[in-house]
Amino acid sequence: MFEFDQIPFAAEFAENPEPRCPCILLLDTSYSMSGQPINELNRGLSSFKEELMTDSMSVKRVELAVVSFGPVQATSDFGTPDDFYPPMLTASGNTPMGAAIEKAVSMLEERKNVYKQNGISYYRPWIFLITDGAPTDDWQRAAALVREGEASKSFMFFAVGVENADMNVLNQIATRAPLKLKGLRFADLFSWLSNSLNSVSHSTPGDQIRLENPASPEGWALI
Amino acid sequence: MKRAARIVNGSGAEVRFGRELGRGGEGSVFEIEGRSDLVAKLYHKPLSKEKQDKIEAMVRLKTERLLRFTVWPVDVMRDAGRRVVGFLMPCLSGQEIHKLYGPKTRLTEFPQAGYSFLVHTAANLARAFAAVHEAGHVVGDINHSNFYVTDQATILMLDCDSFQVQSGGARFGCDVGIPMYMPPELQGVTSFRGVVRSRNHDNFGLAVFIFMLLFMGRHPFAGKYSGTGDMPIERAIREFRFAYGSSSAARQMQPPPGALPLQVLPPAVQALFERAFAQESMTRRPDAQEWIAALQDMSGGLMPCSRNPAHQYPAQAKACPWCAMEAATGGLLFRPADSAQRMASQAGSMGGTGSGIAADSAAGFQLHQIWAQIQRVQTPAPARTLPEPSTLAAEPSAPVAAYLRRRKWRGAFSLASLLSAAGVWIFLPGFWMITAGGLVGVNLLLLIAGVGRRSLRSARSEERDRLRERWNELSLRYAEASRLAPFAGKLRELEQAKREYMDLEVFKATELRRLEAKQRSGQMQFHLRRHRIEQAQLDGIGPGRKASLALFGIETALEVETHRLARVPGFGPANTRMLLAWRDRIERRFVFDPTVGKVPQAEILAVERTVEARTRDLERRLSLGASELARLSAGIRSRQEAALREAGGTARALAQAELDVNVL
Repeated sequence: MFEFDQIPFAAEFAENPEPRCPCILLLDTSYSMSGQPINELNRGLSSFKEELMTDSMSVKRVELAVVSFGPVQATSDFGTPDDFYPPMLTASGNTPMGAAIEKAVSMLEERKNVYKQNGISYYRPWIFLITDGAPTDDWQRAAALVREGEASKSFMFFAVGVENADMNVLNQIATRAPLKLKGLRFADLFSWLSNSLNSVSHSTPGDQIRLENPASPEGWALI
Repeated sequence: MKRAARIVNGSGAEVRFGRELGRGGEGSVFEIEGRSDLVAKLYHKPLSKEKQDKIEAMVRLKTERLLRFTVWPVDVMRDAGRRVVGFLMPCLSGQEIHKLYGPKTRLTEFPQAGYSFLVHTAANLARAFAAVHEAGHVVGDINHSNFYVTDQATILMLDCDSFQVQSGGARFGCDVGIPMYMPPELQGVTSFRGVVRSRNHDNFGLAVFIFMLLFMGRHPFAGKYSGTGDMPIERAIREFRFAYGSSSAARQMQPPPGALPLQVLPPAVQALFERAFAQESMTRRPDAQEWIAALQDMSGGLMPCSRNPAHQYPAQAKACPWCAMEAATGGLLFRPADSAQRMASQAGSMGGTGSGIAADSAAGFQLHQIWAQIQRVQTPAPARTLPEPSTLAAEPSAPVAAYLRRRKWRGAFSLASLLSAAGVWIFLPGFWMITAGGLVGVNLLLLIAGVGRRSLRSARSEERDRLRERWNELSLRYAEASRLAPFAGKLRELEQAKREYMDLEVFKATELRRLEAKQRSGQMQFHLRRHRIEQAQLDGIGPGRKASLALFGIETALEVETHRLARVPGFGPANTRMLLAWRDRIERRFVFDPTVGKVPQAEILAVERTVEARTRDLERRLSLGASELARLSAGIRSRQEAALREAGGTARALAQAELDVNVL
């Protein structure tokens, strides 16, 4: 008979015209993440989806994309949580963090254009970087992009260091203070992220959101 | 739940809490033991004196009418110190309103809801606002989670303790609000504390929610902005940029692609939206009563779409807007009518005798009619064999005819000159010189005249060759023009489309059965996996055998399969048979439970979306079929005629040229 047709472009906005909060997860899949860290990260990703699904507004408003590095690739393109299938990440390769950040910034620009074309309002996008190392490529341009994006409020950039991450470089890339993950508490991290996105999705695009402090004693992070 | 203090209601009786039903920012809602009609909201933190007074006032102010539209506090809850720590309110039913106005969730949460349900809900929302306003209060915190809709399209408002409440001379404020539902004059307000909210403020939010209900979840201020930079919703509200209004273009706004145009609504409703969102009328926005009247009228004026029974639309629209929007975006806005309905409407008209045809064939798709039109299209004639031009009767051309006449006369002249020369020679032999000279002279003249023949002949034979070439060209063109392949191809395509159209329901049913089978086999696998071999009583299969089965990954009934057992050493046919019989017994005990692990709605919707898009596409192609086919047929025929006309002329000219050449 016939193949299942792809849902054309505008269908997702016709069926769901709610304002969107795009969030890109920039995930380090370099070799040093092998073993326990990558397993915890994968587990965290699937619980992330589940937690977002429990909020009826986040399901409509949050859009997730995943860029893994290295090599740099868009593992999942933007979609609402019901449409998001957590990838099974495997660790290999080096840490082209600069290229990954550039890719994320350009994906966001593209997505924003799609929103504008379709008359869809949106929240300030999130870029959420998780890494356990230091960039193996040139990250100066990426750092400039982050500074520019934060200054013009075109996105918020969060950096999280795992284990032996080079917090010094992260500090130079991110304008917000990078956070250090306590142990491998990815589950808590994603739980916090989903709560934060939930509160964003219940607000109005452009609102200032007070995020719960992840670096509190019971939080998942250290400053 | 453990709670330190005893909590009592307004009359001093203890309130015992059951399950926690929900937890919000300021409090939790609990079931109450012994009362199924009421629930308790208990605040997390001690309340200010003012808030305590507000709740006591609200309980005093409860009315029958308010309780029809809201979960108004009906009793207070106090702790041992008589401080108000919460209140009792009626149970909530229904679902958040955004699940209704957003098509994506409507398809699964309110599958039966058509447009008339949405208009009805909008009118009921206005009724709820009217009830609150008439009691002197203001809703204030208007947002997508505070209105619940039941499957009867009735509205219940919650979070009433955030309302602005008027109690005699005292006013208890509303401290919250979500900017995207707030009027322009409240945009940019950093704190609502101390801000007096008015019904006119509420009327803005009411209009926004009515708009979202009628416009498939679109926000009235979310559109395409043609200026530079971003246009967030609150800024658009502040700057009166209603994307659908008559002044939207002047404000650089335009509705999003694939959205419902405002003009489709009854003029009265259009006018209310314009007034609710325009700067000029911001002090006198339409109130709830005006909306009730306009929406009630609108509700009465909806008509069903003749193509898709799930569509209803305002009668003044020229055609069904939902069909157009679904076709333009590929999305589903309403759950398609179930197959039975569609088939029934098709079958009814297939009979061809009913009076129903005239009524619903006006715009609806009727396969048998469409197909009859297609069959009425004239099939173009195949190419005929063209006659060979040289066999046609022909007359010599004018110059040749003239030449032939001249030649006849020249022959006679030559003969005459010969005869006269002979005569002269016989009778006047002495004058032979004259004779010879005359004869030579005359015939020399005649010879010079004969050169004209050769040039004429070569001109005509050149013309003949040119015409022959042209003739060959035209015969080819005629044969080309008579190629029926495009016509036959289109017809085959339409036949295929018709077959596919008739099979759509079968396809849908098959797909849904496939999904159910998947679910069934999932349940069966789960059932089989629950039966572990090590716990089973199996004659002749002791712990040792069981261990070796486990070694080969055969631990539950699910893995008991002939080819797997064959790999286990020392496992003979008798044991294999017995294990298979064991599995068989377990399989037979399996009872399919259609409610467990239901087929995900998303998968069912994917099938429906596909079938709907396919239906639309096939209907469009079949509807265009007759005219496309007629155009192809007419094209073939006119090209054939033109080629034949030209070929006829050429054939005659060619026949003549052939004749000319032959006679010269």
